[in-house]
Amino acid sequence: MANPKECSVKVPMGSPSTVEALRGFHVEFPRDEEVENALTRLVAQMSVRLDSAMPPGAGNRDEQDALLIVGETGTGKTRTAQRAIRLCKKVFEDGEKLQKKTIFVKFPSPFSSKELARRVLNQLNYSATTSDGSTDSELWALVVYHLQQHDIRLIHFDEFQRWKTDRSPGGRLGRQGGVFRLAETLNDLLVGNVWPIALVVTGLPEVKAFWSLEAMGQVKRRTKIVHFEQMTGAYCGAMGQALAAYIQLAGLTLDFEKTYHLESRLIFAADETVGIALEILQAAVLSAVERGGGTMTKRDFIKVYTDRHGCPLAENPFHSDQWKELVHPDHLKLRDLEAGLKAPPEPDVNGRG
Amino acid sequence: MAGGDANATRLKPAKLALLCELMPDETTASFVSRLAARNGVGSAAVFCKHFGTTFRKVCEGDPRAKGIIAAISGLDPGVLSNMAVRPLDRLFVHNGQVLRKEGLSRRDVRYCPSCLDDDLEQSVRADLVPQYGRSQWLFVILARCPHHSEPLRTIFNPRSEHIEDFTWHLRNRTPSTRLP
Repeated sequence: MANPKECSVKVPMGSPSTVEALRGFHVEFPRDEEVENALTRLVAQMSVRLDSAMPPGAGNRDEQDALLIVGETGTGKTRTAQRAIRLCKKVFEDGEKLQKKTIFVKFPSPFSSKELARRVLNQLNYSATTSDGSTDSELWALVVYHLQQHDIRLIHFDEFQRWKTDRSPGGRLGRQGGVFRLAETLNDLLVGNVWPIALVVTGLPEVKAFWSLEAMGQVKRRTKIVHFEQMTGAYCGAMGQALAAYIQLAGLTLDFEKTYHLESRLIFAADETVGIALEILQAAVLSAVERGGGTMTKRDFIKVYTDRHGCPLAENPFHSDQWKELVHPDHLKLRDLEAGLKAPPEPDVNGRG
Repeated sequence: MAGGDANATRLKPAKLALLCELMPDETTASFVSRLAARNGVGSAAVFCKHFGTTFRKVCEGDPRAKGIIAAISGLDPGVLSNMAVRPLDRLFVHNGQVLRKEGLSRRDVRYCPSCLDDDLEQSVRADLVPQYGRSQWLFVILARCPHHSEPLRTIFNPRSEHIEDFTWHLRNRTPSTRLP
């Protein structure tokens, strides 16, 4: 839950730092604990020696584990994973050198194994081009060497679903295809002899399909999967605490009745997506700040929702008393699109159809 | 996005995290050869390709190649240019000296084993690739090491492979002793 201690510092109204403070404030949800526990297990595995008779160190590290977090867009996967990694700061940072032991890499689109290797190398200040004729395996061997030299213990791969944009000439799913090579690469990173490394992977639910590939057997065995569900009524408490923290940060007071059920309306307005709900909350707080007067009212939420969706007031869940009967605009659009696709083509002016 | 990144890389590559120190009497070729090894790359030729240039151009002091090596190593381009063996008509220029082609041993690699032992002893870590090529070993007229008075060893390179890639030759080829 939101920690009141963290929001004790007030920031000037309307300043860019207000936006930064709102975005930087962490709202804790029940699933955060599951991610933190999984990461704690992952970290524990980092210090397990391959040979207990030998001292710990490079060349004597056991196979590592992976944490896969999947969920729809805006559910807060990346943010939650990054926060959990930051909580393990003592493990991942060398106090004296202030050297980070984790790196964050977004999957490229279109995906290629070489481009991914280049992105990892870039994070390690080795800005190689991919047009030098090096093979996949040569580049990944170089990646492993640099990971070891920099004492990197964990890679966070984000937007993993972009593997579907692979355009390998060998075919994505063939044994020579990019997907097969990616599976082999992940396997080598986790259980390689030279420098096994822990992985945190975030992406859309379709990433689970990749994990079920036969070539991923070894990786799957070592992976803990956390699924970020859509928001339910259980999230009302956390949303209420987020609102309380945000208005305190911005120096506002609330001006609407309890029966308004803001949290439930918010969950509906955000289409049950955590990230969007927080965006609406933050935008409404900023709207109240800009308006002046020191209070936050329903008008701020109505305005933000109208700005996002451009719908009439009767369809605005922050305005309508029958908001529970409304259909979210994104679903309406989808319904219209599907109807348009199914409808027979209209005859042209000459009656031909 | 990816293409943009690649172009940006070609224009101004970032400074490497894994570096070597340029020694006072070291050739630019030897320095880049060690830098490649320090960064886990098998040869200086492949290493230079990673950054959009060629080892040949680096050795000859090509301005763009020199700029790239200066950017990734953090060294002054002028120093790199000075320590390169640059062709000038039918002659070469190195460290302010004009040299005749026949007076230089560029294809074969020559070294003093005791100097290389000293390099290793003075270094805290072998993966820092401390053994380097002295520019005076390029001069054919020099048969013995001025410091240890022992004959220089030669790694013959009949097929002209990896010319001036000092570290590659030390790691991959067997030396022989050429008597004075």
